[in-house]
Amino acid sequence: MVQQRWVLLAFILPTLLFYTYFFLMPVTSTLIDSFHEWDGISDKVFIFLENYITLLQDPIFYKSLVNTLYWVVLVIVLQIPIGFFLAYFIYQKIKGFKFLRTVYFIPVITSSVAISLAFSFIYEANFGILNSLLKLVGLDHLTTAWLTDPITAMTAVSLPFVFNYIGLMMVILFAGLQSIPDELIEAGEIDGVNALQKIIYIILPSVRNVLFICLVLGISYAFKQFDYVLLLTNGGPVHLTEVTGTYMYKQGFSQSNYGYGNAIAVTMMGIVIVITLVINKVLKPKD
Amino acid sequence: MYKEKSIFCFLLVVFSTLMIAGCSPGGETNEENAGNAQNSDSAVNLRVLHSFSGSQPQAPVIEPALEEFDEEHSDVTLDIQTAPGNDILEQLRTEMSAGDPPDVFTHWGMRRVQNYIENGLLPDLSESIEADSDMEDRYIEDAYNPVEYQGGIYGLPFQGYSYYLLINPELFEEHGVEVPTTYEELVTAVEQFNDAGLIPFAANNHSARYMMLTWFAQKNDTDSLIKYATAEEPFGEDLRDAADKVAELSAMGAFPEGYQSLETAQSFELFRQGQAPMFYQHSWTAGEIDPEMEDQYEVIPFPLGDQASTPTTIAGTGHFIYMSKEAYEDPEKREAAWELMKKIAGPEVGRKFVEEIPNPTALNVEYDPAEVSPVMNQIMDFIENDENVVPSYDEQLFSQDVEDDYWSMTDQLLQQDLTPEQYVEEMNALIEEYPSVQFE
Repeated sequence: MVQQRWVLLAFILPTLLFYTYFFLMPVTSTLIDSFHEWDGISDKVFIFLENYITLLQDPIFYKSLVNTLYWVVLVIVLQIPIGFFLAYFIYQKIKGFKFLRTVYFIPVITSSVAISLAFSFIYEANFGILNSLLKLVGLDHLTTAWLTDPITAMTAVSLPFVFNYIGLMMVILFAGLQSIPDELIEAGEIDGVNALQKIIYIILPSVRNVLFICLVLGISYAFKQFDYVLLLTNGGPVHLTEVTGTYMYKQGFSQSNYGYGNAIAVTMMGIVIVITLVINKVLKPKD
Repeated sequence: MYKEKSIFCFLLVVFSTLMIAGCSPGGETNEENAGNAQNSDSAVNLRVLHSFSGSQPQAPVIEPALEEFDEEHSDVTLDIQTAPGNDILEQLRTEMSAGDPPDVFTHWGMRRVQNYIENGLLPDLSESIEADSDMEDRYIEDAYNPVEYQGGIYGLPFQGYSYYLLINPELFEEHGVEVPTTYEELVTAVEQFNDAGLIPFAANNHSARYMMLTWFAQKNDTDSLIKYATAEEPFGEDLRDAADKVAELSAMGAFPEGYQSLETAQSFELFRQGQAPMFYQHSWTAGEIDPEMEDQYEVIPFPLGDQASTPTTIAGTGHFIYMSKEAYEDPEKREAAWELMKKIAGPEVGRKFVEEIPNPTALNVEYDPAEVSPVMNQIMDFIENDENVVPSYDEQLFSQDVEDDYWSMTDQLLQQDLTPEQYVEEMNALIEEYPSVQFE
């Protein structure tokens, strides 16, 4: 028994050390720094909650938060539903489904830089594929500068992110679909359910727990993402496409305002935790 | 049983020690390694960080110069690190924050190094400059201006800059448009090019800002620009008029669709492809012009804002080479770093800047006009002979904190989120909060 405890400790300790050093310590340091005014070079000045008070009065932060929440909405209305239908499609075991599964997953393993570059070629106002295509089919009046037009900019910069993670959602949901007992579906079919009823009354309730995982993952990715914005618009023009991640990065690394950047990071972490708790409460996984 | 426990304990201690040692800050280890390297071959090891690599137009001059220095000095070993273009900003800031600055590095002027100077991370080089006879008359007038801070000089200049208006005369001729010499004529030209289905200016947000600065500078000399930057005088009508002009041009479609998110190289592509007849930009872009096309372009004076305006060229020194305080305090490193700085900010590199890149230089050097591209010859002619040659607020004079905010504020003006009047008010408020203290 004593020997077992030593073995357990031996296995736990490395992980615990890693966790402490690479997670707990940075998080604690971020929290402490958020109470300081610090440019990364001069001495830190303790200002307690001043960064948070400034944050609450900062219109750019609110703008970036709204933009980030827009990404969350896109996760719910586009990323997960499309991921689900792709998963359901290959779940039908149509011919070549293994190939399709690989194809759908490719964007997940493609670097965000490559995806951004591809989308920048699509959106470019003067030479871009999208505007050229619209002109080709006589829809000149619909052409616009997709990444700077206030109406289209935020959606345009969000789509690469949606595209990037659809494959991940599909794989998770596909795994969930495979765990549904065949008997359950067969019983429904004997009872005469149509295709839509089958999805709504049998499939979706059966993958409820998996949907919950997808939702939590999607929301945390939405809050963490900033590379697409940084690469496509750098948050501009005039913070139109700013998200909390880019705003935090700019405050820290471009404007040497590390204390304020850390306050943004802590606030974001708090928001994600609250959202996750709410989702957990609403969609509490059932055994 | 006891033996097993001992083995487990031993392994855990070893693992923990290794992990903590591996994760500890590397500064001391690097220094020790550097020291060992020095001891082993008695060479001074200099870590150099610069931004002129890859496809940067200056790379073909700076990189060979560094290699040449390395070969010429057997007693010095260069450890060269690069962060192309603007990447050097974050790279240097991180290294400075970590207390592990490079010994020698290239960077912009006061707008990017004020913080380092105020925190004592860069040494005052005035004494070294005074004591070195090579430095006499080496640079153009006011070349040190962007690295002077409260009486000290903190870097050596090597790259100059200028804004230039490049036109494609063939397109003007083809569409029967007069080359504009005043703002009114420019507005007419913009309307005519718009009617002809061309984009009048191959521009991005930087071009628009440079245009505003030029109209403003046409009514000011360097001394008055400094007065505004130090909040000695508030901005007024001149800035409002300049802001009004550029906002009007933006509203009338003088710039490409989505110009605010265009990279400079992308905007130049519009000019190169004949989709736009005018291009107003920073002189580093002259290195991007296809040599075979140079004869087809012409550099013209920037149109005068009104009758009170003076023909003006915005020009100055924009890039500098610095030594870290740590290198300065080590006599051996200081000597080696100083020699390297003199090499990069020296006449040979200066001449090559004009003849080979091409780009204006901060140095008083003779160059052969026959070796210089036609466009650069015209740019240099404006720098040397224009009535009013003043520095750009984009490159110098403003404090670092103003620099951080005024670009996005100008974007707001171009986006019509701010009226020219509001823009002037906001600029005055910003400068009031962060006046330049460089000249105190």
